[in-house]
Amino acid sequence: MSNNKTVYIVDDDVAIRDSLSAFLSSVGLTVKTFDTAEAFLNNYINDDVGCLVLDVRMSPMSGLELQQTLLSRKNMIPIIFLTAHGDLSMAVRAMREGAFDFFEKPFDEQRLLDRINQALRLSQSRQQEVYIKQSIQEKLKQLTAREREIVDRIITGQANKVIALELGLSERTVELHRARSYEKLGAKSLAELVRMLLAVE
Amino acid sequence: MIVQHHNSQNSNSGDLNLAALDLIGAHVAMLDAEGNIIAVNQAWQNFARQNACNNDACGIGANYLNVCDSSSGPGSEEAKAIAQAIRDIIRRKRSSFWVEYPCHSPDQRRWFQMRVSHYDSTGGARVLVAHENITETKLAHEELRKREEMLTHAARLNTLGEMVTGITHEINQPLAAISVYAKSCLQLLKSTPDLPDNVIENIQKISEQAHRAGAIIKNLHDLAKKRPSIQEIVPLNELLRGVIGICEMEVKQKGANIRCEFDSPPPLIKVDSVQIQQVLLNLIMNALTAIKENRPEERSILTQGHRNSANSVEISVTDQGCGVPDEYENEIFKPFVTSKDFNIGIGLSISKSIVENHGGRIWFSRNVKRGVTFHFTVPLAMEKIE
Repeated sequence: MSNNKTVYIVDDDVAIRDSLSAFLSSVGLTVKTFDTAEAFLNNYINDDVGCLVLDVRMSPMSGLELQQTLLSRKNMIPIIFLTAHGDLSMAVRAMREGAFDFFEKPFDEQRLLDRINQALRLSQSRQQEVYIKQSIQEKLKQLTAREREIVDRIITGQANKVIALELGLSERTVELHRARSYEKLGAKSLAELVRMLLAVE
Repeated sequence: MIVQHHNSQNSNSGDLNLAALDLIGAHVAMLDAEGNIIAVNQAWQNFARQNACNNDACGIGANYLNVCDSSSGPGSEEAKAIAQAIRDIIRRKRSSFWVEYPCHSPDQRRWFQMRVSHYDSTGGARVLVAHENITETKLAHEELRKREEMLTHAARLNTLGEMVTGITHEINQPLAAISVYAKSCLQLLKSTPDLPDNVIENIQKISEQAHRAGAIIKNLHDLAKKRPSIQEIVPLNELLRGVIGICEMEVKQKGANIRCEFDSPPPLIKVDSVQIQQVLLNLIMNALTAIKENRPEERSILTQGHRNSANSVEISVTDQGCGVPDEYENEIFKPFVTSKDFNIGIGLSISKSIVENHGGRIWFSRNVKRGVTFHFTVPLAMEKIE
């Protein structure tokens, strides 16, 4: 997982891109700017940690359309909208679709910066979740078919004895499979095992 | 019809004519070559009675020219001009004359039309004077003019509102940039030792002033906020006819003509009529400007309205004008873009925003032969519930 956090600025106004990029860089953030929604889509990699600062009114693809496109790709990058219009209905729509925040130009830079930092933390924790999920899935792949079968029964609360009976194995064999599964998954308790499997469900 | 006896040497057909005059609503009097009233119809008598006019002034035997010449007070100028016209007619200098004049009674506003014409009878030259009450027509015209004025006013206010929206956007962008640049200067100066006095304060003031301007713009924007859009179901032909009524004078003045074609029966559309009429008016006025240098026979504009899908109608305005310069191809719908010196270039950008607020789109195409066609779509009203 990359530790790079990037603020993506998408705005068709060059002065907005230039000034925001100067300001955010001056506080130590990594910034990438794009003049159209299309240019952003062509350069953005789906699971980068970051936050999108997006102008509402652009053409041909508007900020709201870009939001829809990202949603349809199941992309969860937090979006902070900027508008020079003060159009409330647009703000409502953007927020309903899950925007992180909405600012009217001109805005309070400190407040924007605070929200950008919060958005970056959100993106990072989401990325963390994705990472954890992936690593659990990797571990699950190491289980044999028999081990997986037993794990699935353990988490529904079946006792070793019952599992042994139903699968036609000895209780000892079930215990061995169980121990090896815990070891492969790195789980220390039943509770932890359940949590792992729920996370990837 | 009352006829003075010593002059009544009329034939039977003359009697019939006189009797017929009693049936019409206009007040008619017949004058002889000296201007004496020699006959009046029923309407004339009734009017004289209702308006307490004595017989010496307007009954048989009175001299109409004298009455006009000696009139005083408001309208006396017109009365003298009328007397002159009657004399001209008696002398055959002109064959007829008409004039419209106000003649308000204490409790009612009234207008009359006076017509004077000549005819020869066996008894010598005669002049017929007819006064007709045209108050109803006049009031109807006045009402129509008032409505047109109201519509134009509403369209203009609308334009102003749209303009402010456009300006808000254009100004807020640089204001935001100014403020952010100032903020990043402050950030960069944080670690700079020994700054001259007031540098930080002054940069802060730049930012404050940018926000102050932003607040002013916001107030203006709120003030000019568009009236809530009123969507109604209207037949397309009615809407087109309304627009053509408004711009007809302008079209005629430029020696142009405008034609209208639409589906039959005319489709019903669901729109804010004032706004869509404003879009059409914009496009027609643009077309008119584009064809003004054309030869007279090539100064025609075609307006069309056809269903183009299950739920929309396409309206287009075609001209044979000078076209759209290539360099404006992609810019034409942006605010403040214009190829005309006398125009600020917001008509099409306003039209675009109106059409888009209706869920439609607007574009233009180049005609095969000459000129351009502007198209836009509006939603069809659902006629049947399925």
